[in-house]
Amino acid sequence: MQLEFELPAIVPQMVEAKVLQLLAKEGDGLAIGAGLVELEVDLSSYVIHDCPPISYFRIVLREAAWLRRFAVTVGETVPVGRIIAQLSTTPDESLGGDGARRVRVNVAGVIPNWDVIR
Amino acid sequence: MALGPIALDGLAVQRSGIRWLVMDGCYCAAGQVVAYCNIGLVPKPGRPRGALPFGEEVRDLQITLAPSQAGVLHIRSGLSKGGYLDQLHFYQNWDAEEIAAELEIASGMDCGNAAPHWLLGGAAGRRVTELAEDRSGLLTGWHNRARAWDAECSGHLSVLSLGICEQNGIFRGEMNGFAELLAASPAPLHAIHIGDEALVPCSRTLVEQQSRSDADNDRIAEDMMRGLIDTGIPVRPSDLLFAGSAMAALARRPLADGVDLLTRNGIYASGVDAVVLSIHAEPGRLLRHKRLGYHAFWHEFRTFDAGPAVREWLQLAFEPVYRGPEDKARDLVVLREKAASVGIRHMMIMNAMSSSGHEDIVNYRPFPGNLGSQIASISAKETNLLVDELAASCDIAVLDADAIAAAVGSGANLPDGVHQSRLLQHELRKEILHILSERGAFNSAPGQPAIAT
Repeated sequence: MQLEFELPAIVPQMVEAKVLQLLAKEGDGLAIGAGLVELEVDLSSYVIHDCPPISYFRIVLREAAWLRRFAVTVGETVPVGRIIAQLSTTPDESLGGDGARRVRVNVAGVIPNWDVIR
Repeated sequence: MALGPIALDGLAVQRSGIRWLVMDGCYCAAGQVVAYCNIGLVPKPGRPRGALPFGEEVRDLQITLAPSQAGVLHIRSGLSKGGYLDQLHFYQNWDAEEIAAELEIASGMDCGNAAPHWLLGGAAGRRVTELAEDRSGLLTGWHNRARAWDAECSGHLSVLSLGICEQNGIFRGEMNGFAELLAASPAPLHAIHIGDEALVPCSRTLVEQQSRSDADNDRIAEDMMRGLIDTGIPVRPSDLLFAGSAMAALARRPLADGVDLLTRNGIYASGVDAVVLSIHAEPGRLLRHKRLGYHAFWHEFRTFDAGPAVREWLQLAFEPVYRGPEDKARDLVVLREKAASVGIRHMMIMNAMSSSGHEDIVNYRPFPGNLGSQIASISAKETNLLVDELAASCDIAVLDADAIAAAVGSGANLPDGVHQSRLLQHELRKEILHILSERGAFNSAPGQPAIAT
């Protein structure tokens, strides 16, 4: 089964997020609870917004899966709805075509790693 | 209802036209602020000319009017002149006999022995710069300190709000003039709010501000100007405005700011009796000036808009200092001691919302190690716990915003964890007054000697 993770609207007003960290490598078999990606949501990036415009989130898997491909790079800003990662339930099934479903994930608000941000 | 006297030795009161906040024929509650005017103090003949009370607030000094009883207000015509005549104080003298309005009390309502009369309130704003003039309303303008008080009597409890924006609405209320807080207070209150625009009032910076000498402040100012130029980036107006307001804020001592209170019976000097802090003003990352060693924190969205030279100067001249909950607690203990040393008897800390509607984490496996250093909601819970421990050990009260928000519904009333609804602000306001009452703060508000005018 092909799986994909597309950027959700974690905060209702957000339209995009910046990829801060990729937390796994392509080809990894990921267990439940494994981290996938860390994101920065800056509400002031597209509209004037006062405090607190920036928040940080980590996406973790709620089901085991194989990470096949990241469709983003660190530092890239991506819109809500854009596919960030492709995964599968077996390590080598072919990707592409229709029929992928959304991978089950949890979202955690995190304290940023300032070294990564700088 | 006549305006009633304001008795000041050696000073006369001038006023602008009266601006009404309600329509003629409107039903008004007892104590509801329905009008205000700008006032000025001028020496009476024979009084030596010299420094007048209210210092830097003298241009944004106002009096509010509230009826002592509920009723339908019939406004006398001609008191509002419109335009600048309602904004500048020097067109009319304060006349104690002047009738501003009549109050129609519903039949059957017992007025008691006292005829309805005006309850006066005072309001004053200290401008960030004299250029920041805006007399368009009640306490309007860019103020680095705004305050209001009951002007009917002395013996106020002076409460200073030193939080981030979350305290702004709690203290200043829907109309900006502190009316809700003053009306809810069980005893005469003097409410002061210092905002976070020019410098976030965190414990470490407050302690340092209190300890710095004028020479220290001069060195900070000189370094700031030299630092901006040395970036080599053309300095823009936004850089200078940011630098000027930050420089002024760094040189203030908010805990020991002496102020004047105008009442019907005179002008009184006041300090601060109680301070309300915000744990949201305690960032995990402070800036430390590499050479001079002082700490500062500005909200990132403000430094982002500050200007290119300021941003570069912040990068070059400062280094980050990371603070965990224990560091914040240590700083708050030092601040408590410092506050006590200048006569502040009560300190209250507003804690943080510790859950987020934007996360659904159920499994902590991807967060090995200390959860509090990784997950924002856990960190907030740990910080709140530390605040509770501080409260138990060093005479600090906790304003439990976390619990109150949960009780009224945080999703509807605190959607981003910081900015509250009117309902939540009302509940937090009540809780501040309740805590102060429980601590006996209103019973021990000091008598204030009149300033010789």
